[in-house]
Amino acid sequence: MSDEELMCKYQEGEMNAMDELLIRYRNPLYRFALRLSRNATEAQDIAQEVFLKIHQFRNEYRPIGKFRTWIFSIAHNLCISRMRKTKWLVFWPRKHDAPDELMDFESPDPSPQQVASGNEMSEIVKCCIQGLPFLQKEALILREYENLDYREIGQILHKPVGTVKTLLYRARVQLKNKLLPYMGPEGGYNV
Amino acid sequence: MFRRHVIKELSAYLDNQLSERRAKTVKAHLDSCAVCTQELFRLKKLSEALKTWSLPGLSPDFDNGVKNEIVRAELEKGEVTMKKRTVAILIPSSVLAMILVIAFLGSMQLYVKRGMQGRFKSAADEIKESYSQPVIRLSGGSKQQHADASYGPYDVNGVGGSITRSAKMVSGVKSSMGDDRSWGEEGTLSVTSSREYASQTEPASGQGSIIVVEPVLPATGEGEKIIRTANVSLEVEDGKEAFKKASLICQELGGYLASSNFYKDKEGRQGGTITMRIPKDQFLIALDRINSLGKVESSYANSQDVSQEYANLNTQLGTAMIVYNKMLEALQKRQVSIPEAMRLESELTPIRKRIEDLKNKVEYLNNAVSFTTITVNFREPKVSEKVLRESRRSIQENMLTARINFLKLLGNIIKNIPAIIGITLFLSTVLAIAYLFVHLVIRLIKRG
Repeated sequence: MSDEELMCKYQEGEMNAMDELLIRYRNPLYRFALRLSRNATEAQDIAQEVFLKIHQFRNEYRPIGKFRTWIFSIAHNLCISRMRKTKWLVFWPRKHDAPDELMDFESPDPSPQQVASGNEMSEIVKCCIQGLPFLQKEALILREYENLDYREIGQILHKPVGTVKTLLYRARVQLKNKLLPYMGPEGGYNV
Repeated sequence: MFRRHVIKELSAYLDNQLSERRAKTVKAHLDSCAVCTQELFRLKKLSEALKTWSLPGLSPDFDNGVKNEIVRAELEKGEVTMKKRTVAILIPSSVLAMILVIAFLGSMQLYVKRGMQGRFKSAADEIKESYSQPVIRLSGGSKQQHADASYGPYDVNGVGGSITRSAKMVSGVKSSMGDDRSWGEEGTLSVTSSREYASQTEPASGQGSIIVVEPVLPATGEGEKIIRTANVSLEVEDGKEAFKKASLICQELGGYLASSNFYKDKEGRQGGTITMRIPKDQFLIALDRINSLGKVESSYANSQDVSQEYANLNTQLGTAMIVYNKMLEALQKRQVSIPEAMRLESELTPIRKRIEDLKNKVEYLNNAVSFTTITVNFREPKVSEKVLRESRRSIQENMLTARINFLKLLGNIIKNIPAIIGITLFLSTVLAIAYLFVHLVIRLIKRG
């Protein structure tokens, strides 16, 4: 049964549908929130709140688009909302408080000491992704980890497909440059 | 063959997000371009590297937490719905109840008002009819009557209000009167107060004294002694002018000023108090005229019936006079012995003193009754119209002066236009000549 059908069933009052949706989306949502927020408790709260919103606005859902897009849109909005409330104390260090300037925001690169202490690719990747601007980071997470296509990402971020394409290209170029020293000789780089 | 690299599109190519045609082009380019192929390989390696980012697992009680939250939200929503419903019921009910209460009170007030108006109107009509008869017989007297009445803008509270009233006065009555009135046959007005009604044993009609109804003078009869006082507070435009006018009114109505006080406060507002004694038949006229001096802030009138006291004094005086005369007669006719005569002589002095006292009291009462006392308090308002007028006048004058100055300036400019034009032309000509000269010199230098 597709996500959309499950949601329709939930709209009709079938509570088991929510269980199935929970099974399908609890981990993707949690991972998405955690990668953005870097805080497990915060991520869990966001994921929980997403399901609560689904319940609250279940009657407003129309199976026109994909359910996955809708649910990630909610998660995205909640992340933005929390970011505005907490001013990114948990999520991210900011140069500017204005949310409109997210695109311009870049955190400092991970220090070599930080990276060296972890000595694992996971930590390196984490640090490098955290160094990306917010929208690039979000687009990359949705693409790389949630395997959403560009159109879906555009719908979630409220951006055109061309912008998503650019965001991802820039994110990958930055990551490639940062991860350059840590990639093996197969990648064409000398460590 | 493929000069242009497709590095920028490799990201989308890797994600399989390019159009079919574009993807073919990129693929064809990759087949022949080592740089782009290498870049694609790096991107693939990057993608693999990104997949290494591992995350901690989700808390096992996550599902329960979500469900609990949903249940809690439902409960809260239920409470809110209940509250909304309660409010939705309570508010209209309260409004309806308030409307009903207001309507009830309004109808009650209207009913009472109409009832009173009806009663007083009928009484007024009856009295109006009675004016056609020259003399009205009053029965029962009115020694201890209570009357609270209001005529025109004045309130009258007093003991012993009048029994016969002018039609104007009765029709304007607002408050209740403690009298029961009835018209007997042949135009006889019987008036009994509520207190008197119980104690009165004699027949009511045809046995009282005759009084003449004076339509103009309210609340007083010939046989009655009523002291009237009034207190009026006014807000006037000009305190000094009001003081003068009030004094003039007093003088014109045949009264006199008992006391007066005129002052100017810290803010420069003028005010004062005038206590005037006005003949009783000019009382209402005086009040009307005083009210026209300014804005009435409060007006209070009071009447006190001293008929009984007056009658008592007269009786005491008559008795004392009789005793005095008899004693004097006995002394003059020498009907008593010498010691008795001496005693009578000594007793005559206090009686004479007593008679004088009583006479003075009677005189005082006569004076108090025949002249009413009106106290007028007046003061200028906080924002005096006079000050405003002066301010407006000052502003208007300033604006007029500014306009005149502006016109003068315009006139001067117009007057000097020929001179300005002349100077401008002169300067333009000089500058033109200078320019031509310089231009000519430059050309000559260039030529050679």
